[in-house]
Amino acid sequence: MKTFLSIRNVRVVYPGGVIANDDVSLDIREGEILALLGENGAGKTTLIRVIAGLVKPVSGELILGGRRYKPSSYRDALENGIYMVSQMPQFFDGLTVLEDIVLTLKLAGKSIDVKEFKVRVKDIADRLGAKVNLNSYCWSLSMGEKQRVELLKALLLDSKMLMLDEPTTHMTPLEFELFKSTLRSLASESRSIVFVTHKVHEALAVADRIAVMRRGRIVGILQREEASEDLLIKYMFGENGHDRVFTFKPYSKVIHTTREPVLEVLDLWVRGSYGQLVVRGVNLIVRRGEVVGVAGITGNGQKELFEAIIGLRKPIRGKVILEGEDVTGRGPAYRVRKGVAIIPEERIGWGLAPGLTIVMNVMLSLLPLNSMGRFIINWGRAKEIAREVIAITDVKVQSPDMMVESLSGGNMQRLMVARELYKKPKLIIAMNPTGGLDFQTSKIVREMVVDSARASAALIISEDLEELLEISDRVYVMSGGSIRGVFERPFNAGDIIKAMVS
Amino acid sequence: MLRIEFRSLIGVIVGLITGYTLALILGSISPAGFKGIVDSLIWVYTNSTPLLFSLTLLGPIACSAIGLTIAYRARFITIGSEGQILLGSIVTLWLVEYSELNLHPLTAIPISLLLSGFIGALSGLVIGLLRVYINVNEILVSLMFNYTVLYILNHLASGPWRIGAFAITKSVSEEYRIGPLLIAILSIVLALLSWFILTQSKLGLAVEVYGKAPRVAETYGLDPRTVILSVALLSGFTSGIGGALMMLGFQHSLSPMSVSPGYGYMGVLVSWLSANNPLIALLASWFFSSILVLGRSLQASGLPIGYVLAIQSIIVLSVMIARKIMVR
Repeated sequence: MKTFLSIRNVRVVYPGGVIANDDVSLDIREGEILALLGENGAGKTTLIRVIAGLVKPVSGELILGGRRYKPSSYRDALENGIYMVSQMPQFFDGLTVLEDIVLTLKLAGKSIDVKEFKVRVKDIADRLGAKVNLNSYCWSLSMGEKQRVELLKALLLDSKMLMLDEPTTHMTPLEFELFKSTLRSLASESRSIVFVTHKVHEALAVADRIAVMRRGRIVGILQREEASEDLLIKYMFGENGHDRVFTFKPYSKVIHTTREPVLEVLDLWVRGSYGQLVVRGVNLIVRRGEVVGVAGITGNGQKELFEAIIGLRKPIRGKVILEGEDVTGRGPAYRVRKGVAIIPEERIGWGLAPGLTIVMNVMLSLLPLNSMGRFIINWGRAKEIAREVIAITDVKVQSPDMMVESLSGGNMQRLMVARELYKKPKLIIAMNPTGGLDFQTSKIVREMVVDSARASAALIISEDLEELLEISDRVYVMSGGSIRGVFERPFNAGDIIKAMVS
Repeated sequence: MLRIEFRSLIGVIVGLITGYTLALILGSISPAGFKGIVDSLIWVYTNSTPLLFSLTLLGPIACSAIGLTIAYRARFITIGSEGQILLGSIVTLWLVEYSELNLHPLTAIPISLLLSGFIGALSGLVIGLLRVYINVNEILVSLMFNYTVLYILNHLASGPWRIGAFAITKSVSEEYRIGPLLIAILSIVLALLSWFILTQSKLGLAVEVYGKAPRVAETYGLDPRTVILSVALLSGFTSGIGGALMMLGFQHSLSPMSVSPGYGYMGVLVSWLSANNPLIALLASWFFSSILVLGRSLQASGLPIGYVLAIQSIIVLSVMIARKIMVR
């Protein structure tokens, strides 16, 4: 097979000295599906971002069609027939699918005759087996549908190479099967497919060739025939890494569920931002000392459930009961005062305020507490508190007067979580508390939350099923706005996944 | 912070130069000439009469600007300060001349200050309530509010409160008038108070958080409604006081002709100019009031007052551009 793109000795160093790619060399061939396999933080995404022109390597080169290829923007990549589908494709929510596609194509410098274009889109959509209503609004698409629309765009641009970053994250097993055959047919048209994943079984199911990355390096390239699950895991984690991914170890003993409830959610119905019913009659209970998980594929009403529980969104029916008291009609201030710690899924702009110092960011969530005085802030005391919070995070911070944005993403997350736990909460409500964090940091954050939950209680809404299975005493599975199953330890992951996609 | 002030300073200088060049092109500077301007400038800052007069004019500009710094930090972009100043001056005139209460100056002056502040705050509250409960844009509401007050004033001066043949009201009697020192001291006190609220109080932090990240404020129980209503009240309060200072300090009577050249709007400009820092707003207000005095003295040599107002706007524009451009 002909080589489409070769990567030679690419090295990427991020500001702060993190070596994301170290001497990476790899050939991508025409008409093959290449899986780029590695755990989170291994450097896979960085590598495809280099190819897409979004990251500049400090050394090394890319060769495309015998010539040096030096993309300086994503547009360069598009013009060279390279299309990248990011893990969470961004769409313009207010546009229809058709409008969004047209916009993307215009950005790539293509002129479009809308009538003829519609026919082409239909053609390609049929070939992909992708049933997408071009007139529906982007906000209404599921992640799986968004992935399909992205493939559609790539084909409309007649891209020679597709890079897919963890495309199966939000897919059901059925969608995955369909997706697999789509990729196969694309490859048969002598397009190159780069399939980024951290799931061994996916790599084995999809790829012709598997390149394994570990700590920024390519540690092995195997043909599908010579690869096996054991071998790939050995490459991914080194010799002794087996137990880290596939067998989750419970953090601690099962908690007997007879203690008094801290949080009860009764028949909760919530509307989404566009007026649609997104939470439909959810019931759940969190007892003292428990860690309770809510699993589900993103976009099944978890965010609205979270917002309703913390008081940001008014439910249209049902109750939220905190330590026996009906707080449904109360705002967030009341819940904060009652001892609820809130860990939202976005750090900047939801959990932390940009443009303010660390100490201000620590104080802001303590303000409703009466122990902080009625009107005046004692900034001397505030700085002490900030230092204590920083001490919990074990993050090196020169001064609490630094702007919060001067911290790295992981450290911001640790600060936010530590601030909430510092309050000695009665209940912790967290959404995707480790989203986007590297292995080490997410482990630390998880431990912080779980340790604290043993003295209080925690409700964790997460799209990371592995994480939930590791830390939860009980897992509710949410799908289509309802609870589709409640699972107790020992968990049967297969049943849970079935409930998630039901 | 220092860096921002450095940029602002550059902006001020560029603004002055631009303003001067513009005047040269338009020919409006020729009556005074460059030397005339420099001489007047030196005269303003070295002679006690114009210096004290600049402190007198400081009152309404500083009071409105100081309150607005708090409002703008919460991204509550009211421009109602103009109407609130007029409202404060109407209330003050009513109290000392039309109410027939015949209060002693020592009670009348503090009461008129508080009453003006109260009425100003009340009007601010209305603007705030409209924003909070039915989500009406505060810029439009406050603009319309300013016109409403202006027409009320015109009506009073040409109707019920009119004396004699011209549309003009009674004048504040000598014993109620206040001097530049009291005005300056009150402005300083208000500036310190605002600074204290912003930096030392729970409300101040809530204002900062809400202004920077409304969703964070909401999530952690810093109620947006409380924040907006508080800043609406506070900015209305200080602007109302500004109106009392204007009436007792130098305006003394109301007439559709001699109404303020827009001290409240100057407060808006000053607040932006100072990057919403009340202490710097105080200094910037004084800068603006001395430019006004400079303009008045140049008027004698034929320079139109409109030129001075144009200069103020050019300076603010230059400063804002300087802040945006000189990021590094």
